[in-house]
Amino acid sequence: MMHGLRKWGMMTSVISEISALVGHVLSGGYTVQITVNVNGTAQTSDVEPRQLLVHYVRETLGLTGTNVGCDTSSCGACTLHVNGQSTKSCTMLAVQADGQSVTTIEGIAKGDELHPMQKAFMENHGLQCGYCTPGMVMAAIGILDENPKPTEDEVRVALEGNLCRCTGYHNIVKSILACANG
Amino acid sequence: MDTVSQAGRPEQHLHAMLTGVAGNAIDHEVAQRWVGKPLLRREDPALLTGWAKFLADLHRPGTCHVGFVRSTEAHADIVRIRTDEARAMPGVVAVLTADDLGLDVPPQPSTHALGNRPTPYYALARDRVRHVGEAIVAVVAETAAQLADAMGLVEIDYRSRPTVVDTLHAAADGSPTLFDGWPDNVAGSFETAMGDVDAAIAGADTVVRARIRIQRQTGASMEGRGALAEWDRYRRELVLWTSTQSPHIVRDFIAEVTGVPTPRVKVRVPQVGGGFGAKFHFYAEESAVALIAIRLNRPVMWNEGRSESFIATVHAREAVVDAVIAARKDGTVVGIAGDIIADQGAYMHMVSFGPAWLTAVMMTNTYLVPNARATMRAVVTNKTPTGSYRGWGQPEANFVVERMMDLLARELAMDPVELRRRNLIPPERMPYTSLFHTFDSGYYEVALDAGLKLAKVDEWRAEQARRRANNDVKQLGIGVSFWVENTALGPSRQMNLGGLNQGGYDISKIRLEPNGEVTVYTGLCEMGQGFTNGLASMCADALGVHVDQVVVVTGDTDACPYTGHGTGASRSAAVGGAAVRKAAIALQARIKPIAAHMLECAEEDLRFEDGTISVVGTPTRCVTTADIGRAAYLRAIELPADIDPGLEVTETFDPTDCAWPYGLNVAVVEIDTETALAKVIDYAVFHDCGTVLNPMIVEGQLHGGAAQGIAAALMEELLYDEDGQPMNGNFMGFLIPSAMEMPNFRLGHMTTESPVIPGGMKGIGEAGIIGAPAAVVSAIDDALRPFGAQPFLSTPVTPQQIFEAITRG
Repeated sequence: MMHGLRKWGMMTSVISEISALVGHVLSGGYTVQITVNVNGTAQTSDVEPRQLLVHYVRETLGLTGTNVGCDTSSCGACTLHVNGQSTKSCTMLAVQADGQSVTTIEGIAKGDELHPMQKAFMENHGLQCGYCTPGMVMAAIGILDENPKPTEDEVRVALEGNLCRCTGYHNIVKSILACANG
Repeated sequence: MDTVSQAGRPEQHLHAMLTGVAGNAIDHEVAQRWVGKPLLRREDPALLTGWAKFLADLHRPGTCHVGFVRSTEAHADIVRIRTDEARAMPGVVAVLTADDLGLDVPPQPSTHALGNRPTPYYALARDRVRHVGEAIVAVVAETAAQLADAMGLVEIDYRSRPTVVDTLHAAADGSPTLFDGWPDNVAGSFETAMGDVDAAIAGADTVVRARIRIQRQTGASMEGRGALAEWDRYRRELVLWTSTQSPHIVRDFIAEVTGVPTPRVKVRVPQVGGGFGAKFHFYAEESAVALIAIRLNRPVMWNEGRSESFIATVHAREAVVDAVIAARKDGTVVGIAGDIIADQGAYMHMVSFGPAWLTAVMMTNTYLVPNARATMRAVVTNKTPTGSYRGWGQPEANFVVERMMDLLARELAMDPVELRRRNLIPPERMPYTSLFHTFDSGYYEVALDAGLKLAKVDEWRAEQARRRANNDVKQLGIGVSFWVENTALGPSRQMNLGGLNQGGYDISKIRLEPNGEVTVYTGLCEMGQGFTNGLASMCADALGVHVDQVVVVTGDTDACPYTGHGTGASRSAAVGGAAVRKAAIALQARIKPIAAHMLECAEEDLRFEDGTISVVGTPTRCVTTADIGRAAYLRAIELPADIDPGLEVTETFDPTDCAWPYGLNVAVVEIDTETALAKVIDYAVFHDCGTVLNPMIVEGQLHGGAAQGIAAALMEELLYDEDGQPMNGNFMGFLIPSAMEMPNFRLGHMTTESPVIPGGMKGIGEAGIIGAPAAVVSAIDDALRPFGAQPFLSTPVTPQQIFEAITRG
């Protein structure tokens, strides 16, 4: 048994089996109706109780700007706002968002006019491949909401939950500071 | 300290010109209006608003989801596969094994035929697995949730075999073997030499030897891999959307594996969320997804999970190098030798031992070393296959040579900077041929001095002395490394001689559209760098149009010209840029007689600017590219009688040689002597990458590369236990840096045009990573010198190792 537990895939397989059992019971037509205010519009959907918020946003609502970058809640690519708070949407169930207000990356620009943070990222080359970017921008807005004039160190510490593999963070930090001072 | 970003600043050019060695970047044939400007990226609004579509965002009607049940054993025979329970789950469409895909499916093809023993592996494993993560069973379900439910119910019985995990164990006599019929685990070997290194070592005043280890790493792009295949059974056409850097290689290999004729395979690349070399490879999952779509007559999609990525996507770097450096008393290096054992993992993946080959031939770095030898043995082990990761063998070589230079400096009690200065290849020796390659150009000593100044090394030395005198808890170290990068890969014939069945050319197609706008088609493929912006600038300058008139199309094998390579090897700006430049010049030559005819003037008197073509001296006598386009496509009556309608050209650029950017890295590392934590607090790169297409993008490439190199020095290592079980295959175990661990970067730039690339560009994509580990580890050594610590000879240098070095004294 000890040997078995050390094996790769053991954990995922245990989780899958539990998920299969639970899913079998809960997905057999069992759904819950939720109403979430998403980007200013009330959305009512029937969702499986086990559905994560990130999957609700991406699959049920088709808002695919929110990305999935890991399976351990480490990377922050799925960061969005729940009632104005930065939240990794892989750490919440869709049903927990019932009655709440969610803002995704699709909801912050006004038509063709980018949000100041989006504009700052563009002007400071704060993105390369762009995969972490939606989560990064949502986290960055959250950082300035809490601390409108942060120091560089404060930005770096506050960004700890969002990983980027392209930029080395130099221009991300620069973008956020530019937005704060803009 | 403030960040000083000097790329493209006139004073740097002035500095270079004042030294009388390097000129400003002037393309003597093409006036620079857009090239060199930090134009904002066109793709950014879509990426910033969530509109851009990555692979997982694609939706085709009727698509089902594929997941792979992977080996949990490092080395075993597959005894039995039970799929009944999984098949019975709701929403499950199919559960397939290698037998179901068909045993006539060929093994995964390879671009690199490097004379190694064959190590066949397949879309799905047959009979035997050789690493944890090898795909054995494909489960297909209507939804991702149903797929997840069913996957855990596939049961596979194994009969374990002895595992070979450690690199040196794999190379040792009597080690168990991975492949039947092999006498050992050596899949291939290579040797190269110049001069007489044995005589040089025997006659040297000082000889230093060391065993250096470079750890197993991986690109870990934020977007994993993924593929979506759609089979049209009536037209017998296969469309494969895949997150790749090399769409034409994927197309050709999919045709080979599936038997679908090449013109009927269409590879399309959506927005790619990073690649770093790992997505240059063609993978078993791409074959499997295509084969499953054909077998099931359903579109099928696979999205790689993060934990899955750590066992299924190529790893890189892992090597042990026994190195020798020999020198005279005055510090003149007379010989370098390196014996490399490179860990290939379970199979020779698409590029075979290519990266280790490059490690071998780069064993003299930027130094004038008359005698050198490198040997390389590529060994197979029961771990995920290794392959491409930014730098492709060069960070390993740089780490070895720069470490040996530091050890030699210590032995000779010389300043490491002065030791390097003494041995750098001087400009009058350029072009200089080392073990294999010819460096095209470079003013290394100028860059060395400019780098020291940029990094404010004198100020840091004073601060270091102050802290040492005060016995400060936080001690400082300063480390340097000099690097050169193999870019603009490459000369096709040279690559074929090296054993590659692929080209290094690029083909560019440019069309002036009927409305006067311009479309550039290239086989290169964006993975997030933004090089297409640079190509647009190059096209605009060479054609004489406004940059906003130019659209660059990539990532579609139907629309884009064939490329021998795809994106990688820091070739897009240099080879792609030169191909675009060549095609744009040719297109302008086609426009000239039309414009001269319309303006009733001589072709020599035409002036092109921002899409307006005027007569020199009479700017009001002009036509626009829209007038030309209308004539060329819609009103042939306005064309000269001998000119056919249409304005489209296709040109091939195959470089005569590679282009070699270079530079100096300076790392300042602060070590908390109480916690043993090392942190890079200042980091400078002074570099020369030839003509810069877009300085903003060049800076971004250097930042990102340096960050990955610093992480290699301090953090990242893929670990396995003695049974071949991965120990840290997710972002909780394999730590990629966050913003907290990274410094601000100072960049300085000078320009020496590459003489081998029209336009003068050299690549930059991998430059940041190559010398970073050596500079950081050198700085750690420097910080710990007062503690009597021995130099570190492996990466990463962990807090545990630093703690031991401090306490051991």
